[in-house]
Amino acid sequence: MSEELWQKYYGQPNPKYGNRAQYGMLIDINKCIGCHTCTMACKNTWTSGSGQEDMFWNSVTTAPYGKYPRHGEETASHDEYDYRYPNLYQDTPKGTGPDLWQFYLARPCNHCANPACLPACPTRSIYKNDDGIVLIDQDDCKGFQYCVKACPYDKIYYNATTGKSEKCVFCFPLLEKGQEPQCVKSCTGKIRIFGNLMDPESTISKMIRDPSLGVQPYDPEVGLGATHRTISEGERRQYRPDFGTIPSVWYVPPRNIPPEEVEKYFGYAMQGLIQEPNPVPEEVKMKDL
Amino acid sequence: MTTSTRRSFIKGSLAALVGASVNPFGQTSAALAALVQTEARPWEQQMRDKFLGETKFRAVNMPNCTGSCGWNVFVKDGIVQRVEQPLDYPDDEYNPRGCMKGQTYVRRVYAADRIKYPMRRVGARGSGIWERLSWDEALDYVASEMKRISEKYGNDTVWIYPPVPATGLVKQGGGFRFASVNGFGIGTFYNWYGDLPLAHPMTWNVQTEEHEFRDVLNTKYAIIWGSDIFQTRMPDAHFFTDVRAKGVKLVYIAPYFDPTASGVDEWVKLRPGTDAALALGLCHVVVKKGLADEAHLRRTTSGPLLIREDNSKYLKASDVDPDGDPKTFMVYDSKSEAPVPDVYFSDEPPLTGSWSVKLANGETITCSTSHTLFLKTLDEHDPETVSEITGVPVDVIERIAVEYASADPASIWSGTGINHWYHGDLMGRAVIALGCMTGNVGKQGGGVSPWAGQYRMRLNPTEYFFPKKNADGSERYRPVPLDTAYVVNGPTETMADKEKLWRQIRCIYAAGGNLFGQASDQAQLAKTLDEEIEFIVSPEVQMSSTAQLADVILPVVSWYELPMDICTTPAHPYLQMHEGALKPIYDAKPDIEIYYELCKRLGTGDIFKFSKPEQAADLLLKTGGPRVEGITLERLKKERVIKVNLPTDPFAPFTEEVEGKKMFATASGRQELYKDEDRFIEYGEQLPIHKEPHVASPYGTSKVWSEAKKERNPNMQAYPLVYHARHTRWSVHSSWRTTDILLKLDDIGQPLLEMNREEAAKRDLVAGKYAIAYNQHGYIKAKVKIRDSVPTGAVLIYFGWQRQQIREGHWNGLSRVDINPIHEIYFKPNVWGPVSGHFDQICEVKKA
Repeated sequence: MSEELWQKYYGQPNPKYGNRAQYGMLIDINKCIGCHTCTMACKNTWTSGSGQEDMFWNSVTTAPYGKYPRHGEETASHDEYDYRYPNLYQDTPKGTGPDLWQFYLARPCNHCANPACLPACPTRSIYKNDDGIVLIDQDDCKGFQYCVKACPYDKIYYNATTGKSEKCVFCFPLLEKGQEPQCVKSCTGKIRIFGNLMDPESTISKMIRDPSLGVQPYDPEVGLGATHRTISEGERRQYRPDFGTIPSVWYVPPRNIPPEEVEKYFGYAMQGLIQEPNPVPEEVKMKDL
Repeated sequence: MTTSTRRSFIKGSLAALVGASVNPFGQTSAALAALVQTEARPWEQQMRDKFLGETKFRAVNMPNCTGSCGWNVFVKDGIVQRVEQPLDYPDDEYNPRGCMKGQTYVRRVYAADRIKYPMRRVGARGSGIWERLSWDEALDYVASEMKRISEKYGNDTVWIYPPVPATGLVKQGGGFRFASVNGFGIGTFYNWYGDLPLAHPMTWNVQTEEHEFRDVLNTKYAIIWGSDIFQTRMPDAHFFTDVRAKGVKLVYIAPYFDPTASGVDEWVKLRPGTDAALALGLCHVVVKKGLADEAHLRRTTSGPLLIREDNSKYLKASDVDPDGDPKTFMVYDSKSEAPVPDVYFSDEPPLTGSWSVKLANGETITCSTSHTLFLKTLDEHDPETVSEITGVPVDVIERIAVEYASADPASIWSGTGINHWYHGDLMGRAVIALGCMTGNVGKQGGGVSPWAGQYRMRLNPTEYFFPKKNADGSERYRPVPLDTAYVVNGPTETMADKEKLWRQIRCIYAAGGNLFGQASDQAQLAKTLDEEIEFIVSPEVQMSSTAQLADVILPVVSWYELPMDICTTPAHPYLQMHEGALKPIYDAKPDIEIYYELCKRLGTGDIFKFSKPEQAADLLLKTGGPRVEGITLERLKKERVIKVNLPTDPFAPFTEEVEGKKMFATASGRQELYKDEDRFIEYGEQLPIHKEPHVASPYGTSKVWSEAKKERNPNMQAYPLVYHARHTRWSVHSSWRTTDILLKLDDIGQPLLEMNREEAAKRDLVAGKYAIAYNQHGYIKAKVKIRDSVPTGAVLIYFGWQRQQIREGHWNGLSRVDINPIHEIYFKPNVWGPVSGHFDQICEVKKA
């Protein structure tokens, strides 16, 4: 992202929503070991209740074939199957012979600077708070699920028990207690950095804008009891920036995949199309789920 | 109201942070001012209230994964809500420590398959029909059966199986004490599981020595050899990705495109079971390119020691001088042109050469240095031949050898991938030879570390495990070590001491080991069970396969209900105190209480003595020796995590030895790349060589390449696929295998036969449909997953599934583990004994 664009979206209070901070994340895919500790830390904290059985605010899948939710790909007639197998095709690589590739894609809500879900809500239950966190007011939500359909990242989930839609809250109650979100704090692969993108002096802002910084030890005192983490050098990008929602979650794309695939997942090669860059080949597809 | 609460909180925390001049995200106070809410949102308060009323305790999870991770457990109204890593390891590199299995242990505490009461089998074995007993009834019954069997067959036919005591020294060590005081038999685990790298006792006369994981940060080049660390070393895998981020090259050597292969710089794919050949090929290149560290070889290895050509034994002082010491090894002295006694760390003796030596009996024989003989072996392992054996391209072999030898220090991190083989010892020795050849042993950031098994106890447990019989401890109560391999397979002709080491056991007390779920050779075990075993007791937390097949089940507390324990691991240098604060759920009791109650009924209660963990923990620490000196129970209660006393930080083994400050613990005092026990000579394995796999070779099995390549293995015509039942990220062996929330994330939550498109197409197999993998020993029926990570000629199944989760057969039903006679030269429980080679297995797959 150019300095100009950075300044436009993060350098100042959000022109549309007025939030004066924008919390975000930097995730180094090169270091992800696919352990799902983040997913489980999130789940145990927020989504262990009734109606949330198949709900993973933070999910990890193996690209290219893993996808959560799946959108009727396997069994076209059943919506429930979209969510039932959140990690289908784990560790199933693409390629031939020894030239295989795969990567783990950890995804919380992007808490976009320009969220697609928010304007889609007919009951105006979705808001961006002053920290830039996108939230669904559970008192106001009527469960129309327009947001579920609007989010190109599929990061909003309908809870059939409560009849309302739910999503990642960036652990705002923990932030207020001076702690990092669960998926960041628990990350045993030490791949995530969290902080305020709008603050030019924050560790995350500096690390996103200067890729050489991640490998230098930074002051472990910085950041809510955060432990020190090493982040790979290399370009920082957003996942599917072509959707145009200006995600606040950033990635260090995997070095071990073909460059054209990086452009599909972390560039504009997909041109905003709502489809997976790599559909599952017929012979690999799981039958009899 | 809500708004004001939040606002005032933020103001308060802001002020505190500004005051301390450290702010949470390293951000300016202007940006923090943004954290002020304008509109009342009562629902937000509900989210904040989730954390109200939480209390916490610090537990340590105790599965056998080497993690030994601490967890803060958050409890509300006596019910566990969630857990967090405590982030309290003194070396920040270890924080956060703990994976998704630790995150979800709570689901096991409250699992539907928790064992609630003592129960006795009333239906047929495994039928699942039980009657509930009171604790007194159960204990009386178990004690009376143990007495009956002891009287009829002997005490040592009652067999206690308390694996991996380091995980919870009090809890698992209690099994040792229980067996000791009653003179029962006791099982092995580290060697029998296939985790013991026999190459270590062979080369260094140690059980195993590994570099602490934090030492990865010191390496300049790392080869991860047959260890899928991304799946099996989760809390420590980041050390590798961290150094990679800093520019250190990571190489992964394995037949499979495992998760680890996807996250390193180079994946070297080789034919399963040919790792020794590759290591020797790398050694070959190192020597030819002049990159060998001859000083290291000369000073610290068996390299300069003289070997007699006539009998392949080391030349000893007594061979050349009737008054000479039969234990003194000899080197050649160029000045006097005669053999002289070896002096450790000397720069004098020639590393290569052959000479005529006059023996004391007047005979003249030829002697060569062991390095000379090794170079001959290496001559047979030129890159072209090795490429033919392994399938690794010649240029890759040459390049990796040069890269590894040129980096200083360079490290090798091996795992069970090269150990779970019949010839795993040869593979290990070949890899160690590579480390020695390049002088990487005994150096921080170097070494050869075979990561498998939580064997290391960090303290000397003798006083607790084997209580004194007399005041000075010259006599102790000891159990009778009966190797699990023999218990399962029956005795062999080649075993070290059949008289002493073989008993047909009649009673199994499986304390914390899921023997009937995880054992290799399930078919053989089932037969033994039917014909010989009269009584099985399963003290268990959840309804494991073993519990399902037991005669009596005793409910044991989960870790969160266990009042305390002491936990150690080789992976990190900390001694930790575990503290559980939940009240026991249902009728569950801690193991130590059960042992004590049984001992009381067996008449040994006064000797066992301890009914509470704390007494045992205190004894362990007070008598634990120098490594835990200064670590008292009081200190541990306060600090929870204390580093043990180690010579280097981060810990690297053999630093003093390679600096010449002391000798290795071997007979020669050197790193013994050459072994001269009769059986090594009989099998031609004095030096590390490559032998084709014992079962899973398309060529002549268990033969050296020059002979093997002329043959075709007839068994592989019928069973052309190498069969590996492997560790998965989702379980620690069978622990967590039934955890609902993890099953949801493990593909489709059931056993899957994984193979590539080519092999599946050949057999007309369809993804998601059932297939059967079978061989002459057994079979498993499971759905097929098409995954090109699996090489052609192989099928893999991620293991750990319990009895009720398997459609038909058993994933270990296909394994039949022959015992390698080399593993039986000596028998020291868990140090030198039969090492399981269950990766050395073949099968065929057909449509179900």
